[in-house]
Amino acid sequence: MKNYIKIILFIFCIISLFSCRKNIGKASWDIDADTPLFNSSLTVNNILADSLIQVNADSSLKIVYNNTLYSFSTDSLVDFPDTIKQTIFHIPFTVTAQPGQQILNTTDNKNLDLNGAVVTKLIVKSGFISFKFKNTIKEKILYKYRIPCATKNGIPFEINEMVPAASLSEPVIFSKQTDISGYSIDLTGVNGTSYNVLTSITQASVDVNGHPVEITPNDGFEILVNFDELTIGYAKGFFGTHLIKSGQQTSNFDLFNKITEGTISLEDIHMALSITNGLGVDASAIIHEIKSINSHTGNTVSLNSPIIESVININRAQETYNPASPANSSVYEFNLDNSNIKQLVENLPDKLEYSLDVTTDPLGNVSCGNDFIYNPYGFKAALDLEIPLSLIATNLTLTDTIDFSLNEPEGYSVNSGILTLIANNGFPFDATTQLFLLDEKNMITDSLITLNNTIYSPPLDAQNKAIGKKKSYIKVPVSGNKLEHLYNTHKIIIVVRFNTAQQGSYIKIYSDYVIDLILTGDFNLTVNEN
Amino acid sequence: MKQILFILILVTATCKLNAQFDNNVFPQSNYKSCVEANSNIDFVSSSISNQFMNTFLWKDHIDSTTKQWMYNALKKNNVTGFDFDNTISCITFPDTFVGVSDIGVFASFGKHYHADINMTDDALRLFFGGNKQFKGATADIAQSSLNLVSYQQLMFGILTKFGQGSTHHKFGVGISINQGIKNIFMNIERGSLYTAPEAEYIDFSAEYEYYQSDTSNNWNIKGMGTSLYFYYTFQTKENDRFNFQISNLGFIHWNKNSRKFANDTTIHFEGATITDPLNIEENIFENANVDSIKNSFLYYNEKESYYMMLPALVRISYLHNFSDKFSMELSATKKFYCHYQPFLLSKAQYYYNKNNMLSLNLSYGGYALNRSYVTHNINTGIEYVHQFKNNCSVQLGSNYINGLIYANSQTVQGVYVSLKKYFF
Repeated sequence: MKNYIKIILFIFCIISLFSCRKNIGKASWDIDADTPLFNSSLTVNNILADSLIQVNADSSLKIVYNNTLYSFSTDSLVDFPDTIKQTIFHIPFTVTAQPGQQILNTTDNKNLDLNGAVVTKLIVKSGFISFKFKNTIKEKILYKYRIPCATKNGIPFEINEMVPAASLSEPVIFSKQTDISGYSIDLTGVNGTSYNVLTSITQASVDVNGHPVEITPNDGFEILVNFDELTIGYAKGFFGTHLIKSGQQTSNFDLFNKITEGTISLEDIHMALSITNGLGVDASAIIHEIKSINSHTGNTVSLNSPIIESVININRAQETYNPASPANSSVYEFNLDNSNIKQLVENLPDKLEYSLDVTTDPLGNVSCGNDFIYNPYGFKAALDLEIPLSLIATNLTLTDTIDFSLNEPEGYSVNSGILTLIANNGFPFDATTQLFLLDEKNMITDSLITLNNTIYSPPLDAQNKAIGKKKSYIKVPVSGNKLEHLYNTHKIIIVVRFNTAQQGSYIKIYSDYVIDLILTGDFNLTVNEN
Repeated sequence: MKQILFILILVTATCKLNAQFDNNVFPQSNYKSCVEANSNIDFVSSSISNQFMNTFLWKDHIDSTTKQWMYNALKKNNVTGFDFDNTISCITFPDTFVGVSDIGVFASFGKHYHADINMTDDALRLFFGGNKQFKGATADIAQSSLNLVSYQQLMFGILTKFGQGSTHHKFGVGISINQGIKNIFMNIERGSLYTAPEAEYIDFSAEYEYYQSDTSNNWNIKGMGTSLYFYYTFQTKENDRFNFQISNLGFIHWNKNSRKFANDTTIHFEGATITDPLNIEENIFENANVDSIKNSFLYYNEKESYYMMLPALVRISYLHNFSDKFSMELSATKKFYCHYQPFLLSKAQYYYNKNNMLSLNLSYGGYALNRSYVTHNINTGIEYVHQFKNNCSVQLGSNYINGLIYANSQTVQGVYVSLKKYFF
C-alpha cells in the first residue's frame, strides 16, 4: 500500500512538470501580397440609364429623355361622395310583428352631389360598399339592400343578411363590406332621363323561423351605407368647367443629378413640349413658366419661347369602344428648338420649376353630356428631349457617395500598402479622380489620392474618334495613418472630373467606348499579429 | 545467418524511443512496479534551419533576414517533421495474474503532437512571403502536403517473460484508446498559382484534398480511435539484447462535424466584380475580404466524418555489451503514414561508475535526409543517465546535439527527458 501511495505521488510530480509546457506556434511574419480587389467596366450606360440612350446609324449616341412636368387624372374631375344612405327608422306605435312579416320597404333615389358634374353612367374600377346596421329588435331581422341600377354581368347589386336579435340590454351592430369592382352604375334614375341619381331599395322583415316580437317606438333600425376606396374606371356625362392650377411646382430632372461642377457645351439639342389629353373633355392650357435649376451652382435659366403665356387649346380624346384601348388621346407637340433650350439644358439642371393652368370644358357642356373619362387616361404635359452626345466637357464633375466599412482583419494586420487603379480608357476624356473619407458624422477626415490622379484619354483620329484605349495607373499609398482613417470611415465620396480630349472641338460619344477598371492592392501584412 | 543478422543490426540503431519498461541503461530485474515519465520534442527538417524554426515555434517575429536565410536553403521539396510527446506509464508485476505468474500489467497515458509537412520551395515562399515575389510568374505548389494532429492516448497491456537462466524472452502487447484533439490535413496533388505582372488577375489551379477535424468549441469528443502495441525482446546470457517493437499502429475516426472534401479547381480571380462603378449599393469591400474569397473558392461547408492513420512506428535494435563499462546499441526506426524515412542510429554507451552513464551516438535518416547547409546527413547525439540511490533515475539526451550547437546551419534539433522510479 505504501508503494502505491509513492507511485501516485510520483505521477503527480511528473504531471506538474508537463504542465509547464509553453504554448507553441503562432509566430508572426510579414508577407507582401499583391492581389486584384475589384474589377469593373464603365460605359455610357453606367452614367445614363439604358432607356435614355439611343444609338445612331454611325454608332454615335444620343440621349432621348422624357420629363413629365404635370399630370392629372380622372379623380381631379369627378369626386364621388362617400355616403350613399343614412337612415334611422322607427315605428311610431307598438306592434307585434309575426315571423316573416315585412317591417320596412323603402326606395331611395339619392341625388349625388358631384361638385357640378353631371354624370349618367359610371363603371367602378375598384372599391367597396360598406354597410352598418344597428338593430334593437329582440328577434333576428332579414335585411335586404339592392341597387337595381348597379349591375355586373347583368345581375343587380344586392345583399341579403340575417342580422342577429338584440338582447334586452344591448342592440346589435352589424357591419359588412362588399367589393363592387366592375359594377356598372346607371345614374339616370327610374325614368332614365335624370342624372347623378342612385336608386336603392331597402327591405327588412322578421325571421320566418323566429317568434312574434313586439316592436315599440323605442325600437328601430339605423342604416348607414358608404362607398369605400372608390376608384372610377369610366364615367360619362358632363364634368363641369374646372380651372386646375398647378401652382409653382418643381419636378426632378435626373439626367444630370450626379454632376456637381463644370460646364458642358452641346453641339445640338432638340426639345419639344408634348401635351397629351386622354380625357373625353376639351381643355385649354396656359404655361406660365418653365425654369431649369442647378442646385449645385444655384444657376437658373428660364425658358424663353412664344409658347409661354400662350393659350393652348386641346381637343378631347376620342372614344373607340375598344376595351383594350378605349380612348385615342389627343397629342400636341410644340417644338422648342427656336427657344433658349440649349442654355436651359447646358445649365445642367437637377430640377425643373414650372407653373401652368388647365381649364376643362372651357366652353361648357358642348358635348351634351357625352364627355367621358377612362382610368388611367388623363392629362399630361411633358418635355421631350433629344441630345446627340457630341459635346465639349470642361471639368465636368461627377460626385457620388457610397457606404464603406473596413474592419480590422483578424489573424493578420495590414502594415501599409499601395492601391493601384489600372484604368484602360477608351473614352475621349481625361478624367481626374479623388476619394474623400467621411467619418460617422459625415465629416471629411482624409483624402486618398495624393499622387498623379489622371486617367488619360487615348489618341483621336481625324474625326475626333478615340483610337484604342490608353492605360493609366493611379496609385494610392496607404500608410498606417491612412489605414486608421479607413477603419474609421463610414462613407466615401467619389469625385471624377472629366475633360474632353480636344477642348474646343465637339467630341462624339460612340456606343463602343468603355473604361476597364481594375483595383489592385499591394499590401504588406503581418500574419498572426493580433 | 549470424553474419546477415549482424549486418542488419549494424545498420540499425536505437533512438530515445526505447521499448517501454525495458531499459537498456541500468536495467533492473525483480522489481515489483515501475513508474516512468517521458517527454521528447523533435523538430527535424530537410531545409528549414533551427534558428528559423525556433523563431516560428516560440512565437517570435520572423524578420526578413531570417526568411531570406530560409529561402536560400530551400530545395524543390522540403520535408519537415515535428513530434512532441509526453507520456506517463507504469507497470506492475503481481504475484499472479489470472492465475499465471511472470505476467506484468502496464498502462500509460500520453499526449502527442505530430506534424508532417512536405512543401515545395514555392509553397513555402508563398506562405512566408506572399505572392508579390511571383508577379509575372507561376508558383508551383504541387505535391505539397501537411498533416497536423494532436491526440491523447490511453494504453493498457500485458507482458510476459520466459526463458532459462540468464537467456530469456520478453513479449508484450497493448491496446490504446486514442482521443483525437485536432487534425488538419491537406494534400495538394497538383497546384499552381500565377500572379499577373500587374496583379490584375491571379490564376489558381489545384487538385487537392482537405480534412479538418471538428472546430466547435465544446466538450464534444472530436475523434476516437484505437491502436496496437507489440513488443518483443530477446536477451542473451551475455546480456546482449535484441528488441523489436511496433507501436501506434492504429487510427482516429474524426467525428461527423469534421470537414472533408476534395476539389479539382481552376480559378481565374480578378477581384470582386462591380457591375456599375457609379452606382455602388452593396458594401463591395466585404466582397473582397480574404475570408470570403477563401470560403467562396476553397472551402465547402459540408461536414463529414473521416478516418486517419496515426504515424505507426516499427523499430528494431540490438545492444551488445563489450564489457561492464562499455556497450554498443544499433537501431533502425521507420514511421509509416508520414514522410519519415528509415532512421538509423548507433549509440556507444560508457558507464563510468555504477550510477552514471554517458553515451554518444551517430544517426542518419528520419526527416533529416537530403539536408541543406551540410555536406553529409550524419547527426551526432549525446545522452546522460543518472541513477539515484532511491531507485530513481533520470535520463536526458538529444539525438541532434549538432543542431543545438549550430542553430543557424543545422536543420535538426530535439531533446528528450525521462524520469523513472522502481518499486521493489
